[in-house]
Amino acid sequence: MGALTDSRKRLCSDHRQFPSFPPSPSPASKKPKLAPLHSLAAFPPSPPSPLPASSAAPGLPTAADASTSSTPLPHHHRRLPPPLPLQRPIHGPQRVIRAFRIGPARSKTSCFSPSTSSSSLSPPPPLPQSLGFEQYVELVNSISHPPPPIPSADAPRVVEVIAVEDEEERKDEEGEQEKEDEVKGRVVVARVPLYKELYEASRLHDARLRTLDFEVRLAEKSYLGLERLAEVLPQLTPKEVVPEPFVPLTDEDEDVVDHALGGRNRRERLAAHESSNIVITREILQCLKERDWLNDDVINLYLELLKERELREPSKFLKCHFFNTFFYKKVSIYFHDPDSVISFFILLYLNFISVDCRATNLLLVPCCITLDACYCYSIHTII
Amino acid sequence: MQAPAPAPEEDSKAGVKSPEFITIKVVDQEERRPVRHTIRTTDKLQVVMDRYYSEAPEVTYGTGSFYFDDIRLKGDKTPAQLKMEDGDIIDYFAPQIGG
Repeated sequence: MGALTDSRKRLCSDHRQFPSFPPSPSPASKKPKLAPLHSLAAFPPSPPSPLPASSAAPGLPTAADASTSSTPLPHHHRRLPPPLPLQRPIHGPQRVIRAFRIGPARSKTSCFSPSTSSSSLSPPPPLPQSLGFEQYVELVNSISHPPPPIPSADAPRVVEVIAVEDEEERKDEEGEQEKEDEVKGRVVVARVPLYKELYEASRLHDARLRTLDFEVRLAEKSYLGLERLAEVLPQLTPKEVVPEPFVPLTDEDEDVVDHALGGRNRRERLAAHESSNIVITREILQCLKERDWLNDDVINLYLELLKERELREPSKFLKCHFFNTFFYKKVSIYFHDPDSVISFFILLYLNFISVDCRATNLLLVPCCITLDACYCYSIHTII
Repeated sequence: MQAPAPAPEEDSKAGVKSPEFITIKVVDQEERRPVRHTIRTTDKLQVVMDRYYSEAPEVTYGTGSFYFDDIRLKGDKTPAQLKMEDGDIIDYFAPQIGG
């Protein structure tokens, strides 16, 4: 409002003093005021030109004249605008620029009271002068558009701030990670040096961690022991190729079996065991066919073979004493008498005493029970 | 002819051993009647086995087994080889079938 009153005053005074002043229909808006700025910006060094001094056609106000008429007359005293050798600062709302060493206070003062600023401010700064339209355009461009890489002193500061923020973020992240680790059961080993002491202190009171440490140490020690064992073991027990107990028969073996079981001559002697005087004929061996019963000769021969195997490799097998299948038959007679049990044990003892009882681990008594038609073994362990 | 005959017997008595007569009893496990047989120590045990088979008609010839002191007897062995004495008992076992 003050501006409006000013303009009225100006208008009135202009009308009094200069009847040729163009009566603008609208009170002075800001656009026509800005127009001379353009002209000023277009001709910055233009001093108050002597050209419009005469104002050739005072009675004919034109638009072109209006632009020129606003230029102050040097010889006439006028309040507004002051005759500035300086360029006129910008009227209007200005963006407060706090960067690039342009203080807001200075810009304000320079904007709104250029005359007083020049007088009041003791150091006549070149800054308000530098705020011409070109500088303004430059400033606006530099602010509205992203500023190009400026080799100014502020740039590293910004970088520092960013770095500091990053560090803070890292710290926060680390703290979160530690919290997560703690939440997950406090098992994860801390890999961050930060807060390590607190973390270690918290781990000292964890019983589960202690047990885990103990298990880890135990596993390591057992592993070390096993390593030593692996070094020593080949020296202790040289490798022996143990044949598998059940090896599938080859074709030749199948032929032998077919010949032994499927021949025509039943009286043919297939095998004769000299020490036990057992002669195996085909008739005896054919009990090994399917759906046939075992007989005493086969069992006794098999037991004799077991004896021989034990004698051949005494370190590999238990020391056993095999009775033959008739031992139980012979002994079972005494079961009918009440005193027969004692005599049975006496007989057993007498039979057993002929064997080296101290070196025997097992007693095998094959029993053929004719009523049930089955073979079974009673195994006595001697400790 | 009879005179020179005892001469080798005497020689054998003097040289090796005179063939002694021993009586061997064959016993089966069913407590049937034992079979006694007297043979020379130099005779084969097959004679005793045949005698048993003849005395026990229910036993098929050639089946079963004869044991003496847990030693299976073969027909071609002699009592002298097994160091049998008079009155020794031979066990006969019928064939055992089962499974």
